[in-house]
Amino acid sequence: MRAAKRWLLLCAVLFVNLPAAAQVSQQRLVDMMLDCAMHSDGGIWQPKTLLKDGLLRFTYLHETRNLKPGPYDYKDERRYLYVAFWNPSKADAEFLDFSVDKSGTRDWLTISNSGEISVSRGKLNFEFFQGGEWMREHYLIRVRKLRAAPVQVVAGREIKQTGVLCDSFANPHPEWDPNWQPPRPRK
Amino acid sequence: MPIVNGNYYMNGDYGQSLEQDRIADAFPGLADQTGSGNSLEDRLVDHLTTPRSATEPPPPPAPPGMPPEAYDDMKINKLTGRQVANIIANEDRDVTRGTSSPEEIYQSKVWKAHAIINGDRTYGGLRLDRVHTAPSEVTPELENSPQYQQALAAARQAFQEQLGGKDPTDGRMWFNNRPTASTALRNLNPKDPNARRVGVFKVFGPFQKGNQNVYTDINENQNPMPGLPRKR
Repeated sequence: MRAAKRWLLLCAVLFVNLPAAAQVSQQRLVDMMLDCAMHSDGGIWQPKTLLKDGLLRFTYLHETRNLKPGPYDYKDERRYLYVAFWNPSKADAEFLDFSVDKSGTRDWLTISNSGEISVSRGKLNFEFFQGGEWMREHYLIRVRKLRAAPVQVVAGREIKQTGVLCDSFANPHPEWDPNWQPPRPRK
Repeated sequence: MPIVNGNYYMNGDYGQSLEQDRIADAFPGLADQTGSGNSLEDRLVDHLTTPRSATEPPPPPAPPGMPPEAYDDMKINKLTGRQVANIIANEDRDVTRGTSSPEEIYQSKVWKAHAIINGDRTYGGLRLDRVHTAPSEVTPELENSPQYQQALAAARQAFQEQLGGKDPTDGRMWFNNRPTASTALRNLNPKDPNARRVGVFKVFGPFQKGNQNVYTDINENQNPMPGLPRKR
């Protein structure tokens, strides 16, 4: 009886704490993303023009494995994070596509694509750096969700260093993966 | 003077060994598939690297009896030829040639195939995070379309060309479908005027999707790519 009570208590503690843990994880992901965008060695995605008032306005979308993938969803088990950094009127944004990984025990974020969102007379325009028609449809679905999501505001000076590894398609560090073999120069 | 896989060598045996090494370096996935002695992969590599007299007529690109679909299961690094075709078919879905010639749209697919192969050669399993494309699976509906057959033919051609050391993109990895033919430098961060830029190397089109124009850009790589050897 006593064992059963203890088991019940343990379950109750886990039940109460699980959502908090999940929240922390999501917050950690956002912190890492902001760290990557603002402090990474590459540094090229610092949204300087959006920081005139010292504030960063963004919406994000975190996707994990989709059990019912549509025609424009990835079907793998990777984690993706899509972010839009908006101007104050939410008519114009810089879009970044992050993939979320690990290198050993360290969290590793890679900016795998960039784009530009603009809304003019109610029409959504989207341009992105790499990919074809599938990528466009894939992104447009996400961009519409990003536009509808509530904007989060953070002061630039409050963005923390998180210790995350961060690279990008323009500043790649594949050597951080111990299994990666560099290509040999062509003879 | 003997010729091996399109290159002249003073010593045929030396040339054969060098060309086999070159293929193994460029196609680590294919190298893993060889070694059984009589597989299609072994026969293909032997055929390509057999020293021949430069005065002979050039050999066919594949050994006798090898069907074009043999490339589909061969691996570059992590991707097979068919997976390259699948990516192209996904990325070009519903794009028609519009006012451009059939050769123009076909060549755009061949160049895309080269770019995808270069991404696979460079990054292997990390490709999708750095050379972002559609997934390498297609729906049965798309796989049975005439568009898919064209993507498959383009992937096979690019695979064959790369085995022979030919790559019209010269190692470039990034492509983009765009609504204009602009060749202006592509800014890696449109919001930051001081951000790095890369050039557009080649533009194909105009093609059509619905009533909109679509152009395919092959973009320059950064040179050097950080963390990677400098391109020649």
